[in-house]
Amino acid sequence: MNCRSAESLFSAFLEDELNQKERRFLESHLMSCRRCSASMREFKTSIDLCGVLPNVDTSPHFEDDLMARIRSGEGLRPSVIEWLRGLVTIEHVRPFALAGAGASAVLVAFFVMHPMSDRDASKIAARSTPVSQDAPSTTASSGDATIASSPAAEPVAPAATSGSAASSPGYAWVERSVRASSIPDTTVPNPGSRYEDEYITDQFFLERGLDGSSNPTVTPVSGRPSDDVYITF
Amino acid sequence: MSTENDDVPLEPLRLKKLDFAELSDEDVMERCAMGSEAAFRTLVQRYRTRIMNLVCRFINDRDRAEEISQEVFLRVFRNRERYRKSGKFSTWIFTIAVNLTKNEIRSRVRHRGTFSLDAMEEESSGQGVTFPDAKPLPDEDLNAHEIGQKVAEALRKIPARYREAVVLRDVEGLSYEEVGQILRIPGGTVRSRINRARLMLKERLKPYLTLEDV
Repeated sequence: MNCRSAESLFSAFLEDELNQKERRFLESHLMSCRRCSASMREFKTSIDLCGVLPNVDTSPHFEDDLMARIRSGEGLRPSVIEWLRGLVTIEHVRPFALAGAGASAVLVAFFVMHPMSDRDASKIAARSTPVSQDAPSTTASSGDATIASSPAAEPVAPAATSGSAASSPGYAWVERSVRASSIPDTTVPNPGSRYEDEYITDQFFLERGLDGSSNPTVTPVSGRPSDDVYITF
Repeated sequence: MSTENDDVPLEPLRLKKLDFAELSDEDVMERCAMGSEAAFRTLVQRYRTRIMNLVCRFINDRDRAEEISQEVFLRVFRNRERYRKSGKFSTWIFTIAVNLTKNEIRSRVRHRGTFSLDAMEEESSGQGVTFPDAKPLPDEDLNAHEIGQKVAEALRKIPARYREAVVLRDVEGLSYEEVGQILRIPGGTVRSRINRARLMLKERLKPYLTLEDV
């Protein structure tokens, strides 16, 4: 046993908490080591000295002040910290924690069982994209409805795509919205895929002509000239 | 008729007062929880000096120590109905006192912008706060008084976590189990901290211990 490990046993030795083996080792070390033996005496004396510490008494009016504070109602009033601590006890928090966990579980279960469809994603993408400044508002809003509801199974003509898109600025915002959306959207038709007529709303359709050279015109579905609508592109 | 009525309540009151002197702290506290002011006063009288001393060993400000001691008793009163007789009253009240004192030290450290609690205490302990005694000391007590001051000073220089353990054990005379409950540390940690604190105390008191031996 070295001096350091002997020192660690001083308290236990004085309070008779050592087992026989430890006590025997320490006693033999104290007998052989004068330094540790002196240290043990000082150790014991310093503990005894703690008992002669000067008492610090309270002031004579301590009790009266205290009772006055209690009578004033201070003794019944919890401090702000005590009040807050009372609010966040486990008993108070548990119902909220359980309700939150339950709601989270329901939400997770709902999204697992009903994953977001592509159609919903396209609607969200279309709604989140602002309408082009140069496109007339009436066309844009009506075009939105038509495109979203038109079938997606039409074949795409890659050669005509860029030209058609460039020649029909009314579709530019749709392209931007598709580009802006990270979700691949098959419900938004490619504007270049249609060369002839295209319905804008239930009442009007767009005529571009077969060669694409003539200016596109909007014609009422009814065919009556009184229903003419003029749209500037 | 009227004299009989006047005499009746006096006797139980006198008996009750006598009872409190003989009752344990836990029993007195139980009466206090039932609304007895006399029981509460009894507890204040029993513990006010011990609580004041305990707080003074941690903070070097007598006035503030008295305020904290009053706060301790206010909390005892406020939470009297939450006290469970299964636990020792002394452990409960000392826990309140230690917690309030720790809060005080923390707030002082925060206001001083000091990050180390021990560093702050080391710094403040150097000023050597004394507790003046109103009565002049007789010559034979002077040496004991001086030694007491030296011990108090040495205690203040010990790091807080060791000091609180040794104060509760060697100054207040609590058991290891009670110290562990108050400081919320396991028994092994209590023992090692107390042993370490005593070794530190011994080193700081060494000059005076040698003089005594001579």
